[in-house]
Amino acid sequence: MINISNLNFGYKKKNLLFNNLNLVLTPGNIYGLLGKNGAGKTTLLKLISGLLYPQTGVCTIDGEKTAGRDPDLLREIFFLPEISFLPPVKIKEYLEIYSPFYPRFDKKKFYEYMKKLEIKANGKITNLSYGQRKKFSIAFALAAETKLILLDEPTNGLDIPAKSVFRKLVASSISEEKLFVISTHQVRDMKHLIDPIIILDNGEVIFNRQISEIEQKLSLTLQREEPDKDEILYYENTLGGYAVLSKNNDGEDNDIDTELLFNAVVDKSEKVRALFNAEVNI
Amino acid sequence: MKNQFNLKRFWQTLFRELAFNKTNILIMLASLTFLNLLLNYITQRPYLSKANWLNADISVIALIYCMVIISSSFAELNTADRKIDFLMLPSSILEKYLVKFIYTTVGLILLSYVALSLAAVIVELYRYLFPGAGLFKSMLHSYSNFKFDRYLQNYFSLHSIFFFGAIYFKKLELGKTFIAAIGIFAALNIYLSLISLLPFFENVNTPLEILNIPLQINVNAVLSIQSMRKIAAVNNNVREIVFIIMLYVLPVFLWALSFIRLQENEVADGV
Repeated sequence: MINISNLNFGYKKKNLLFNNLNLVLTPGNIYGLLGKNGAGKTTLLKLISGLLYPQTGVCTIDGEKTAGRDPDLLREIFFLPEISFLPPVKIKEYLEIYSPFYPRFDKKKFYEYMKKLEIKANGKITNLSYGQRKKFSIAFALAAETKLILLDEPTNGLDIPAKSVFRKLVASSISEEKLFVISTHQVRDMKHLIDPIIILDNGEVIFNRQISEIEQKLSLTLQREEPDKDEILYYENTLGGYAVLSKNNDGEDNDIDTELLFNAVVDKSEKVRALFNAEVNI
Repeated sequence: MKNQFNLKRFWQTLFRELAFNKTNILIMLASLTFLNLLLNYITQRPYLSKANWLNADISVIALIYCMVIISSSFAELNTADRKIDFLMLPSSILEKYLVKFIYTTVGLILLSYVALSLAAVIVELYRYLFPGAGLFKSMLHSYSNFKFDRYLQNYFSLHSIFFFGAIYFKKLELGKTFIAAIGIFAALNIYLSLISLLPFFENVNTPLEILNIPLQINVNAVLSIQSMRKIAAVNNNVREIVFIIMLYVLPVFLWALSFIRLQENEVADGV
């Protein structure tokens, strides 16, 4: 379990990005970390992985401070940055070099993932294209079988079939002991994968809810006429009408567009919060 | 400081270092052998035989070459993606430090020795196959006279300086370390020379402060021959002290400082 408590962090001491941040992430989930550019998504991943140190407050994984950078803790974390470094060696050599660092690394699974992502496992890494490198890194990250997997924009550079394969692989990799945190702008690529959804804005967690809860409390409708702003949460123009996000009055689950939800949360933050908090109190 | 060293993890980290550098090692070996041969060829030319500066000990080439390599030994800390890879590697900072240290000491010393041996073998083979061609002079003499202990002393002194520079500076590590080292030693030299002069000025007239040492120097003071001899003796002592510091104290100090600096690098903003 990741526990972030009273965390303050800023790249400049006087200009804090995170001010008294509190967040608890539990295993068995694939958290989707959403936010605008500069909201602090990558910084949060780096703080969780121990690459950055909080100025005050703590970030712990199973009770151990990530800032301690204990090698045994590092063996349980795989952080895949948006652009990852891959050395100029053969894929098999890379496995020989890096896999011993991860005690539960599963070579069989790695080759299986590589096959599913349509990457030949016998070439040099330098001969791979950007997208292929990304696929290779994803296959390695998943095969490492670490308890915590942090993925920063994992679908950037992936072709359309690979995005679908990625979703399937991640969904099949999750277990009760594992925890995924996926930071992304490509919310549509993560449909039916990320749950709960965390939205960051200006270094603050403005939304942290499970999909089931969101679908229970919000309703998405498409209508031809412009809706009355007072009766809804948020709306956007779409082809031939309006996509409207409003309170789910009948309580029936419905499929929520994550992009619309994100825009609603960022644009009408107080309204969305009020709705969710009121519902929680009931 | 718990869990700082584990032999298995250390070997894994060392294996990573060697695997990453295997092409570099081959390039280094080839180029260092070539440099040894080139120096041998140049010093063999009749028109250059009197150029004393060319007759430098062959170990100097290896020494300079190794310092260039050492300066870039922490290059992976200077780019964001490589830094993440280095820092997220599940081994302790002590293990990572030791791996770099061993690679740039034992590894490079072995490499220079192998390159020197290889050059000597090539030269001897050439001289055997083409007797009288005169392109190369035999390297056996310099090879057998190779003062390994002295080489090691010089190597470790310079290693500590350039190793620290490699961690401390983020760009142009070699040049910056070289300039900083020259500057520091020049300042140290002036400082120590002034200290050695202090006891011999008797007539106190002019107050002067250099490097925070309050000096009272009479600019018109005439030093006796006896005093000058004493100065020379003290200067020699000072030089010996500097020499001991350079050979034994400075390396240990800078290696420790390098480790501390590497630990600090983990906390650097903007990984």
